[in-house]
Amino acid sequence: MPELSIILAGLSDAFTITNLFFVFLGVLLGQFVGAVPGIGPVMAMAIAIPFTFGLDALVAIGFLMGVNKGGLVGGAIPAILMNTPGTPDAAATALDGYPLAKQGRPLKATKMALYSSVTGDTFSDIVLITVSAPMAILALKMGPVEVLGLIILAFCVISGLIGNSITKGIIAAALGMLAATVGTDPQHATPRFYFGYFEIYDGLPLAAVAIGMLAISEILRRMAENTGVMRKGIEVCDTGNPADQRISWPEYWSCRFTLVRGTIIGTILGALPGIGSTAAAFMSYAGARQASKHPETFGKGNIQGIAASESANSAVMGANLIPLLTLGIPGSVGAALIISAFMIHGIQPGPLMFEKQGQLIYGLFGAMVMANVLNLIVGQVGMRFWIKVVSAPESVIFPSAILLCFVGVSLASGGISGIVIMLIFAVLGLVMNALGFSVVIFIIAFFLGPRLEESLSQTLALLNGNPWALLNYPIALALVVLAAVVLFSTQRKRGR
Amino acid sequence: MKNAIDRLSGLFFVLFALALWLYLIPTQIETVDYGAIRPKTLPQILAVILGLFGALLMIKPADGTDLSQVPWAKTIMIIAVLVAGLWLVVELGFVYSATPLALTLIFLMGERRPLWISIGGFVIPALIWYAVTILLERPLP
Amino acid sequence: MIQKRKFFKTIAGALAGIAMFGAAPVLAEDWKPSGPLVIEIGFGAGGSTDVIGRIVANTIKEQTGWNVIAENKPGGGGMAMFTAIANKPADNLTVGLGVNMPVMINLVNRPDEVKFNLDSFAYLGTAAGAQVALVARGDAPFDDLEGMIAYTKAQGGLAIASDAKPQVLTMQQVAAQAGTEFQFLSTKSSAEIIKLLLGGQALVGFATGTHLEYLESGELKMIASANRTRHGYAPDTPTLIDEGYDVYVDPWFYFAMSADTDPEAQTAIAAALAKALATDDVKSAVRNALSVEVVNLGPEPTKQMLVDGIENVKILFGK
Repeated sequence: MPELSIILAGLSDAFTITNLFFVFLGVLLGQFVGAVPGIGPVMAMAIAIPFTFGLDALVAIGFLMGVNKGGLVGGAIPAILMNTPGTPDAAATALDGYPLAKQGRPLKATKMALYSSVTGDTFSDIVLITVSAPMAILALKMGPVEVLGLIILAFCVISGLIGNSITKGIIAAALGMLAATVGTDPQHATPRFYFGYFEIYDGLPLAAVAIGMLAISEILRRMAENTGVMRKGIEVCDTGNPADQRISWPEYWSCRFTLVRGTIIGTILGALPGIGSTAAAFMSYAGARQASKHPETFGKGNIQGIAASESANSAVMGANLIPLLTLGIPGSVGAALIISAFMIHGIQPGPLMFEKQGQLIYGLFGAMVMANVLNLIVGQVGMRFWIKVVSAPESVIFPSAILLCFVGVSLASGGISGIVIMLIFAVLGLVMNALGFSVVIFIIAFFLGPRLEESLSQTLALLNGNPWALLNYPIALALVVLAAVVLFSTQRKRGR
Repeated sequence: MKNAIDRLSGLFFVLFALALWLYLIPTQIETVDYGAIRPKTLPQILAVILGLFGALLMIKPADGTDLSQVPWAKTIMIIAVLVAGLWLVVELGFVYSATPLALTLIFLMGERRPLWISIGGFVIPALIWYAVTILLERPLP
Repeated sequence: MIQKRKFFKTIAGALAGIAMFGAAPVLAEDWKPSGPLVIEIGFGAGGSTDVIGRIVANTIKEQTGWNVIAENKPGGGGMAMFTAIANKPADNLTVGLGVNMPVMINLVNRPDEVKFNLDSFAYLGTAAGAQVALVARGDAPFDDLEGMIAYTKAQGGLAIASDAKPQVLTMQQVAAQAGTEFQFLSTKSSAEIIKLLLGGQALVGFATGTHLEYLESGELKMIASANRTRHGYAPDTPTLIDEGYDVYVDPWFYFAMSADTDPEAQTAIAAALAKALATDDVKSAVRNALSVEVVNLGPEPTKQMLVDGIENVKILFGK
């Protein structure tokens, strides 16, 4: 623990008007850009980095943290209001957020998302600020074998979402993983299924696949179903009952277990590099449904579903900074961008950072707390703005959203090829939906598949043909046993 | 009829798995002779899974699929418009193709009010152009 | 239409060039880009290449007043980006930033599928060469390559963490010559390798700069330099070549444009690039990202570096 004077100096660096202004600007930009379909928090940060060249290190990083945190909140907005998640981690939010919005209660749904997101985020920031050093040691001890165990556990938890037909669920998962094998394989770096197109030599870009399958295919479906009646994008039903448009304290409090579960899942997965927020959001969602006394209400506008997903995917980001600040290891693309920003400002992230840059780090923590508060304030105004926007006629909303997806995907994944891939996967999503194959399962498998293959190949290299060596990895074995228990109880619940 | 669609999709996956195993994997993946997991290991496992569960779907269809609800003609029309729009973007660039693409989609949806048509067809593309090119200094596709 | 317009502009520019050729030689300083100069980074956001591309773009913009944009064009370790540059009509505005290794490996291994060759490009210069080190945990029971090989033989194997194919091939050559076998832990970044080493999951791995502060703290020790030469910070640590294994890897970050680019534009952009690479801002960013100093070889030697490198890659792949 550094001296109190350094902590205080760092915090007083953080709480200046300049900083407040730039963090505010970042949150505003993040919430706005993050809500645009096609541009998630990571894309928002990549766009924002050049603007930080001229700024002081703390102001620049504070601004970027603001963008990132704002983007996490903003990302939930298209998922809830239009059922068109721009990033795969917001897909879990759409499962209950959109039904609730469709019932005429969009403000209630977005508020629940905002409060859950800030709750998860704040908790994981507190973990980062107080116990990052021990958490980092824990993260170091989680090697490939333990990560493999964790991914198996994630698959088993998420299998609770597989839907009515197990056969179709497994086919959807296998297809998702197959799509993820396009590009260089993790073990040998030889190309697979690239058919001579170097654009996909590194694999299909996640942004293009996710937006195509989740957002464009949904927009296509709703455009085709439109019967020529000019409907609004979303109807806010005015029952005169204020409870429909807000989250009361008892409602928030009733989600406390869900929030805590989501936050813990998000924080743990965030501290481990490479697994990411999509798995966290879906694990938390599946867990909440599994634990609920009324699992049948999930998917129909249950605020618990929103709380589960948003608390988990937001908790990932704060925890992502644990390996970054203590070891210099980025836990995600977003964290990697923060590292870029540090390096551009002449700061080398790594184990000596607390020693050499203590004041800056505590300044950063101050800025993060500031960003959380600002997120809450900006969000209150921002979601009303977006609900207004989405209340425009569908005939204008959908074509505009398509244009934005075109631009967003081409910015995020390198030009026209991204748009082509997006359209191909939009059609695939449409067909799969019509035939009863779960698109969500496909996306989760697409996301987790490469991580499974990589950790499996690393595990086998470490075991070197000796299965008994597994006994040296008690944590991994415990995770696999837990996975089996989860799978068993999920299937038993299904059987009932 | 409902079961027939499931059986047909099952058949499709069986055939797809065969094509994967016999043609796509041998031609599109390089052979590597070391390491525990070869480049083709996972695709081969997935081909087996797809084949087996495709066959299972043929034998025991799921609880039925109804395709008659989907307005296919309109869906295909919209997809065709998007593909044409993409072709325009490639040929002319986003700036010149956004308005025709947006207007076509707006008309397809039956919008006839001049205010909304002009917002969707002109204001939004202009806003996107302004935000990306001027504010963010990024090139449009 | 835009393509066409660019085409006519190119023709007009070429005609003007020919007309002026007789009159007076054009000074490089007089050349100005006709639109935004785009530095295409062959990797995604948030890596060392990304840092270099962005800071260089920004510095050229400040120094010349040109509008310079850095854009990520990931795919195949820069292959997607370089393929596009080589096959689009030259616009005098597109500069590619990539790493030589993936390009050379693809040119050697799948020459029929790669839609360019070394002559498809005009080379502008390099930002730096990366120093690749073979490092081990501080408490490993060996201190040099010889000890490591003996340990591998005694244990019946050794897992080496790497983040690039050439590193694996290099160590396979070493293993073959020494009569033993390594297992390889493939990872996506050098940061992940450091994590495996510090976490105790791997004993040996490759590092490209991130290891320096751990060498100081004693948590890691350096076994060998995998480059052709020893590293400046560790003059006493031998290279693999010093140890009797005739293999090396030499990754370079380099800038190139289409070979059809106007010679004036080439000269002007190469000069602007050289000037930017000499600034303190770029130097410190490169030092932070790669732990090495900026080395700009300049246009001609950059090309020579690739030509020589291809020969070495052929050895690595046994071709």
